[in-house]
Amino acid sequence: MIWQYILSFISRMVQAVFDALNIPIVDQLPLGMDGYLSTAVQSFKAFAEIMPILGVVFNAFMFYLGFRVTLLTLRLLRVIR
Amino acid sequence: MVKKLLIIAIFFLWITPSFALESSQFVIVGEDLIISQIPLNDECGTFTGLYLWSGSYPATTTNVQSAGCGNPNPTNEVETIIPLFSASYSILSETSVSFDLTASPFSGLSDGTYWLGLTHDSSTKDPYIAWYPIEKTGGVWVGGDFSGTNTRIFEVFPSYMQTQSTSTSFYLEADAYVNTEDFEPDMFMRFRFARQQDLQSAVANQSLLWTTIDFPTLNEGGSGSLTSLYNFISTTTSITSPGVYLWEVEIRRESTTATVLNWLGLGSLFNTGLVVSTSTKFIAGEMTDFDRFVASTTEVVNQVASTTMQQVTESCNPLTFNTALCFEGLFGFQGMGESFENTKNTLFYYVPFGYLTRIVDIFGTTSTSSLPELSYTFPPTSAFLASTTISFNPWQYFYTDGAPVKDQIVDPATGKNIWDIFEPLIKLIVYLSLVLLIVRDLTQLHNNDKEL
Repeated sequence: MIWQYILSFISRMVQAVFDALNIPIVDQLPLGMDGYLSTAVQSFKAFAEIMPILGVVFNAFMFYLGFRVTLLTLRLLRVIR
Repeated sequence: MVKKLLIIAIFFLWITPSFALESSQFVIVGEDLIISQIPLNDECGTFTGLYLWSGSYPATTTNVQSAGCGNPNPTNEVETIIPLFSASYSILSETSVSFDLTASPFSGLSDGTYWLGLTHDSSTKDPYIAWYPIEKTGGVWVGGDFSGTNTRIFEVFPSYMQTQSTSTSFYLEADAYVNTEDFEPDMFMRFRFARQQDLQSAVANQSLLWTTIDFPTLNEGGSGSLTSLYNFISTTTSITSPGVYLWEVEIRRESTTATVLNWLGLGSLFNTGLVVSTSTKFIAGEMTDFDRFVASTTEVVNQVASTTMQQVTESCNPLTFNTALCFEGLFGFQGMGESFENTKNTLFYYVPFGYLTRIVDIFGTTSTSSLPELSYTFPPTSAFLASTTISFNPWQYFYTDGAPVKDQIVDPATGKNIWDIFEPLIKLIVYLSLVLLIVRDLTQLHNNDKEL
């Protein structure tokens, strides 16, 4: 309960600060990228229905991408060498 | 000294005037609606009208029948308002009349809830003297004597945490039902409100921060005075500071007893003047960041309390103490997933994290779009197939009857399609390659290769 409260408390505090600073909320990507990306992802998913192997490869690629980003971030923060 | 005070108190009690109960009662008996003890105003400018309204009160009401100042001979007699109301009626006494619910306009109405009321002002229907809900169900009018119903404040506006813009004419309304047996002519409605932020930061007497609006009693007369049965009392006030406001609505009595006790400084101890009260909160205008912070953290506490407080209170109770459950309730991680989700939904949509969250959301969507066709339109100047569009949709060959072909061609022995058969093998190869790639990156074997 205490952790839940602390997390919610910090979250609300940061939210209050963000609101005070008028930091905008993102509901769609700028420069039309939202539409392009949505269409691309939805088309890819439609294609993956008939070629499921693409979904498996894409999942693996996304996982590897996440791993690389995490690795680079940790190196940037000098947590690892 | 005490004896003298008692004598004074008894004297004040003795001289308390007894006022005649002047109120309205609406009772349905069989096929008759009986209205009795109607307080009437004898001035045409504020002449009493009788109204029948449909719908719920007060929104989207429709005046289906009325009678009022258009009467050629307005007096304070019941009879003068009746002829304009075309339902057949009969005068029972000087102060009561019976309507036939099988006659017009009652007979012509469809099933639903209606309000029958008396008012002073025929144009604004305000102030109200009394309103009474009647309902037609299956062609039968129902309603009745509400004398057994408790006196209560059944609705306030703004309601709990409802937002209304700051204004010099900020609208407040309280709807109350006063039981006929409880009603006294010295009853009155009191609105009290104070800004929560001011109360929390107050260093002086907090009672000074409350704004109090007292409405007149029926004795005093005027707008907003309480009567028996239904009361809809509203006013406008000046609220220009935004924030969360605490709002209390009270029905009180200004009896001599209370006056004496207040004078003796005992009023707050006995609180004899209070009949019934309710309290709530509303939001004025745009909340300040402080108010938003206070409101949201309070909400968090309430949310947490409603989910896990029960376990904590039970397990940490000295009588039913359970070390493990108490510890788990206080320091456990239950509800953390929901908290992280809330955090993501509140914080990670702000710039710049919001861009990443939006991308993740787009990737997380399960909807699909149709795949594009290949098409080409020949230009008008073309010598061959001018302005003609030819198109080719290769994807149609992957589908049969709306389902992918691969799902429909199955092995007769096992019932599995080609993907079901090869999926484990393909996943093994792909994910094994992924693991090897990650191991390669972690161990930096490829860098060593370069060095060698």
